Amino acid sequence: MADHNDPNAVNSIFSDIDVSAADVFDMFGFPGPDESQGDRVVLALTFADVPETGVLDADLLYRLRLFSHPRAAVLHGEPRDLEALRLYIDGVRGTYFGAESAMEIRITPDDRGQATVAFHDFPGGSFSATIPVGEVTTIPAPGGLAVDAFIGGRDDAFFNDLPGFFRSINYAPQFYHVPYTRPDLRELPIPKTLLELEGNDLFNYNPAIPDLGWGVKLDLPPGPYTWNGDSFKKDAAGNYRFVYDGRDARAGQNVNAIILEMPLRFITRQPETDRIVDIWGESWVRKASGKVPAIPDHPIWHEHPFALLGPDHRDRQLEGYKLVDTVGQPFADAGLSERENNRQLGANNFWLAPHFIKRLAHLGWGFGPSVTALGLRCSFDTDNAPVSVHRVYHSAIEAFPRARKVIFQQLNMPDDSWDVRKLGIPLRRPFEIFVPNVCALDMDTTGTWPFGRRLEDQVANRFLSLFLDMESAGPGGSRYHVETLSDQALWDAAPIEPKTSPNPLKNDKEFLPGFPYLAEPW
Amino acid sequence: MVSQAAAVSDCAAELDRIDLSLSSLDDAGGAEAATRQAYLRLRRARLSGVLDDLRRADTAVSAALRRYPDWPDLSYLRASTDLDLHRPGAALALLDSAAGEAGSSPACLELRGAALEQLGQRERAEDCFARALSADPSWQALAGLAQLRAAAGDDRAADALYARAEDELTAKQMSTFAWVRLARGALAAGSGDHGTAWAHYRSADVAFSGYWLTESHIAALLRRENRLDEAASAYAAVRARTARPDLAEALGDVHRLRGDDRESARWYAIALAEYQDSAARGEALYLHHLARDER
Repeated sequence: MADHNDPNAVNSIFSDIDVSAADVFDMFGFPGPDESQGDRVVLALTFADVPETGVLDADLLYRLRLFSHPRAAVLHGEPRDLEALRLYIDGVRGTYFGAESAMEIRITPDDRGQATVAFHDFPGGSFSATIPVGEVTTIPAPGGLAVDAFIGGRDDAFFNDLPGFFRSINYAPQFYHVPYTRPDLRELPIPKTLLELEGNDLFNYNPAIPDLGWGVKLDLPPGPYTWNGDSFKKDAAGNYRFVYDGRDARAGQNVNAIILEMPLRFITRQPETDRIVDIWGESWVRKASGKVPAIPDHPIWHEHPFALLGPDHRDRQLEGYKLVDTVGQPFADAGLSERENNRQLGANNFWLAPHFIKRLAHLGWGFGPSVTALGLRCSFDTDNAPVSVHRVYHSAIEAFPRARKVIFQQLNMPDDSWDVRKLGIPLRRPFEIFVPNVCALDMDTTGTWPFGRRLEDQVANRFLSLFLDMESAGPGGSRYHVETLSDQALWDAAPIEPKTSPNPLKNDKEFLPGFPYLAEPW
Repeated sequence: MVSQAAAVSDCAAELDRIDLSLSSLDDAGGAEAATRQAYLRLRRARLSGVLDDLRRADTAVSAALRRYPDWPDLSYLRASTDLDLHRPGAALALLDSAAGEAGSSPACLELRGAALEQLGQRERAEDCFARALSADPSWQALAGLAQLRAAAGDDRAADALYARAEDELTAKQMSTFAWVRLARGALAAGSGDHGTAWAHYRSADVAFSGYWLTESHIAALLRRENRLDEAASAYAAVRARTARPDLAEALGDVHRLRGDDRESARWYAIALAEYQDSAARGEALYLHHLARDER
């Protein structure tokens, strides 16, 4: 659900919209394990396995975009000299304006089991290769370098209690038949919550229909679709009921994926200082007008792949497609942009910042009281509300004071293993993570979220941890961190049923130790 | 050698896919399945050009709406089917009853615009399409505006709008792309630019082969060019597939121009009988043909 079924144009929850290969799911980015030849960068873009697992849609064009730059931070112990200042300024410029001059990798599948992979504007130049789908291939690159590539079907690396998340936001189309022409009946105006609300019969777990939301849908009962209760639901033992049950909604399901591994010095001429690699993915679908001249049996790019490498021709190629979906950060679109088609902006999502503030405040009024009810410290200012509140903001200025800490607090990590070289890299803050909307891989870390995104990261729990107060210390001076909600001991001690992490802690299949890392498809 | 697969037209393949989808839907699927079933029947009718398919779609929509009267998607489908059956008043009444947010949605505005256009209320229709466009630059709203411009005689503006509509379409909408190309071709043909018309019609055929609407447009252009034997053959072929009475009338026209009065009279008689049959069923679809015949 990091970006599944987003935007609504490809939202297959509705029966009249088919699952589309343009629905990009997740963007992973982490350092490759083999550093013997220098740093290596692993990128993986996953998307719907349409027309089928291992078979790609020849009308699609996928774009991976990259930009490397110094870290926008002066580390403890670094010299305070002009060079440090220059690197910092380069880091800021790269963070916020790098998208304008990003390198890109365009992948265009054909209908003969191959895909053309075209690299544009890399330091070593532009080049392309046509590779077979479903096979690990090594693509020779300028300068004696090489890029490992796999394009094809894999097990979905995302593990998540999707219905639990939808239950938490009262997203009716997951549970009920909802007309596509009634967008007002998607997120119903019931407080968002992590704990079931007393009397929220539309979304509370119903033991008589245990699979509601897990493939079973009912007719949406007549409204009103509001909630007038005043408490969380409790069982006879006084326990709250979790909206999550921790099951993996993506278990046993496949994706199609583009997985690449390349040396960092293939991406930048200054691998020693350009330690951040910003990555995002896009799906484009061929325009109808572009398909008509493409109908001949031997399109030009099969016979002359270099013909598409010039900037002019390349842009003409893109003019033949329409942008459908983008993915950088998990939950930037599905959680914060509400899947809107017109919010698929890729990295340049700056104008969405006011919307993010309003949305975080809206979510905070829902999730915040759930957090405090469990005895946890919350980063959202709820005025000690005893139960979740449905509040919609029309002004970012009005919303901001409530969400200030959610937006600005440093996200603590459980230990310092992520800072591989012990450089004292600053912790990241939510506003830095979601704007711009890129997977900002720090090559001096393990690449675990939010310093990239590793396959094994439970990013849904980490996203929810934004609503934990990570600044103030608890008993013994302990502080919450991004893995707090994945700690089974917390749930064992909490007054809640079921006693489970909100989302599963492991993928349904073991990841591979080496390329292409994602497990074989089912 | 042409393979067996290559011999199947795009349209025939799409109709097969629709039939397969229809066979997989059952009555237990609730309002969503009923909507999909009715939608697929309407789509089948549009692609096949067969009048009885349109009647079946009409029946399916009505049955679904009786079963799920509060399902707004079905109301829109009802209005859309009404427009195909030249019942703009009924469509408009239905859309007027669409309350609140859904009533001002781009989809609703596009349908209202199309209904008002059929009723000749062009200014109000234009307002609807313009409002729809401000919310969502859809091909439907652009094509609707294009039709209004064409009706007003501004072929250049109409073609530009059709071109913009075309640019909104993806490779997953090739039948719609063909439809837009045919509209552009008809504009060109109407202004005497047969070269452009042929180019658009060829594109339409390449984009979505085997489409009855393309074949009927080609037949009309052959007739314009006085290639009457070819026109007669083309009309006969598409009439044989679709059994549409307007194509029977067109065949009567072509045979009249060829000087074959007997064949012309035969086709006119067929057309008239089928128009009368349609009117007897209570359909408004061919009333304007009958009115013209009576004049």
